[in-house]
Amino acid sequence: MSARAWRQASRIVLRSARSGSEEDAFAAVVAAMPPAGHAVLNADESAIAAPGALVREYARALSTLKALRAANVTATLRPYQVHGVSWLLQKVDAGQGGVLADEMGLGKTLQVIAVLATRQPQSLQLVVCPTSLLANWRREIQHFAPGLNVLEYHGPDRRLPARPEPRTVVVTSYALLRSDEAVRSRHWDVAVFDEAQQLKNTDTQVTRAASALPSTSRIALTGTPVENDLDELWSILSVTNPGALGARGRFRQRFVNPIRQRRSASAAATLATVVAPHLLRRRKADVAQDLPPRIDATVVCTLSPEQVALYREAVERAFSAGLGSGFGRSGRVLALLTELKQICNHPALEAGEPALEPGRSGKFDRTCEMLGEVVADGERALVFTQYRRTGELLSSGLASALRIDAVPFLHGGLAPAQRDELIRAFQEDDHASPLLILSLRAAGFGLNLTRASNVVHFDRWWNPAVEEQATARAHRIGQRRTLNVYKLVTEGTVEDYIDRMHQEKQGLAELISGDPTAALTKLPDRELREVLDLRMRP
Amino acid sequence: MTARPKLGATAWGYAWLRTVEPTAGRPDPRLPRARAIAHRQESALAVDASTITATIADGRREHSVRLRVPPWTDAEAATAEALLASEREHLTTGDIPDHVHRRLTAAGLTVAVPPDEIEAICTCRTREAPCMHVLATLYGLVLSVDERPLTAWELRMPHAASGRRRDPDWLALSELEPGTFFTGPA
Repeated sequence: MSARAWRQASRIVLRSARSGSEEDAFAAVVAAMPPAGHAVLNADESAIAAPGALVREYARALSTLKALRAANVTATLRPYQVHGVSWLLQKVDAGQGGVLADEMGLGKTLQVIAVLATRQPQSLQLVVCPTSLLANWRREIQHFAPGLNVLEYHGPDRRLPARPEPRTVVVTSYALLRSDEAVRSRHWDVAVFDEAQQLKNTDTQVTRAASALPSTSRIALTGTPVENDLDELWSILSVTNPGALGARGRFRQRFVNPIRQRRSASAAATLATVVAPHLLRRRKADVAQDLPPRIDATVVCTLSPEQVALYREAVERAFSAGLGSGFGRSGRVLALLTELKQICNHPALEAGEPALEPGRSGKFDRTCEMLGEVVADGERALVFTQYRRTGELLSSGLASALRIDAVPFLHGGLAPAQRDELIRAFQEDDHASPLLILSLRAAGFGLNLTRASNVVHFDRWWNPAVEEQATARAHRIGQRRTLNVYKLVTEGTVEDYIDRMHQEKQGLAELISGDPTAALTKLPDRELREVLDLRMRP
Repeated sequence: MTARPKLGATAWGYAWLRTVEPTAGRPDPRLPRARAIAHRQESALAVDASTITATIADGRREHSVRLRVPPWTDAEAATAEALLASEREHLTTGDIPDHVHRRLTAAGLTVAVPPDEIEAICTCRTREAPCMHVLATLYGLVLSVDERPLTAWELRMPHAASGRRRDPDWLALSELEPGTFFTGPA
């Protein structure tokens, strides 16, 4: 009976392209469907989905898939992502907003790009994100939705064209949302706020600017569990769905005080039903059956102005002093490469300063944001670097940025007993730091760190085999959850170049198979310079 | 001592609070204890249409309390409906603005009912009426109404058998018919 009902439903969808009687036909299916056919339990296992709701959901998912194909979205979305896109499209079509709060690694960016791609708006669409993510957004849009035009609105020579091409997405930063009149006065179709924790404080200029932004629909993306901080939740929803939670004072009286002061379960339950229509949050555990055992992602970071200046200076200095030839040349090239990689990591490393400050390195800032979400979700992560000094500064820098007591650093200089204790604590202790930094060289064989569900390669060895071996610390037998592997790449730099070589499997053969740095030392000056010169915005 | 939330933070909760703690007369010495129980017990309270049920743990004993609040007359209900009509957009969050309460009072309607007009059953044996457990239940009601002012409204609506609006997208397991689970309605 159940199978027959669903077969009927799919026939209706297939046929509906020709005839218009979809709704009546669905109603018949719904009436005949036995409970077994729609027995999907709710979160607290007290109720099952009504057949009408389920069939509607099914039809919606299929029409979303059709829309994605028509919009030329170049990725195959996982089932929960299709649901996310349907959910967002429903909000946007109704002229409302919403918060997509999926756990990090589930593909919020892809879902939103799919939404932007299926729209045929009169006005431009907008993505606001931290400066460190601008390049990442541009690339992801170009990659997943080649039908969209991307305009990075950033930097001193920025401008919005008077007559933009249709279907253009403008990507800009929170700083400009706050200060730039051209952004604030224009009417946007869908306005997306990535890393929406930036809007957690109602009284800041940036939140007020976001609330006042003329737009058809506002979507906020965040991976931090906003429902844990009620003021933050109110603030973000006041941007996407003004009025949904009522006035702020009333919200405090009804929810914040009862929940904070006497942990009121009924207030929390009421709040959950009030928030549910506006916020979609899935955790990795919720959608585990849709996930592969491992998800790899390249995270593109942006250089800070300080890094740009240092990087150019270093290349200029090396080439004007001359790299020489023979054995001396390869040493000098390697030294230059190391210097450039250090600059990409953080300017403080290059200058020999004692601490990593935020705001000076796009890569470090992005790492803090990502790991902040990991920690807030109660997950664990391994961070690999190839430099001892980077590891040491990351250890103190991450601890202070994320307010963790101490982030341990496992490197070759530790005694075997110390190493073993670090590993044991990470695998077994409840109170141990959720982050562990490892030197790529020290983390060779024999380590088992399966408690981590995230791996971050802070800098690149450029040898896929070595990186793979490091990743395998977490991705081995005993790992039951999906492992997210993030490789950080700074846009326009030599890191970016090598990464593209790896991905495109073309260019210099040695770069792919063997040690790419050895190949670089053999290049003549002109070609080497081409590889090393900073490429701003291809 | 940790700060307790203010009882009667909304006008709706406050109206109920005043019936338990009338400003006139000597304060009931049992009230602090009833209040403390309510602060601990509020999750065991259920409001459905005009009936409130609660399980009150008093020391080692548990007592079941059941209160029936008299509904508004049809004429009163019509007045109340008319006042609420312009505030529909608030209702999705279960809130009703305080000014609606003022208008309601101005129209001669009362939201809360004094304890002696409430039909109360408690499993305890004290002869005092209301007993301490009923008072604790009423305090619990104040907290619950503060969180969801619409509850105070629904409590007084005649034929409000619907109680909280049910979500049409979900069917409670208790409503399923095991006999036709696989075959569907005959």
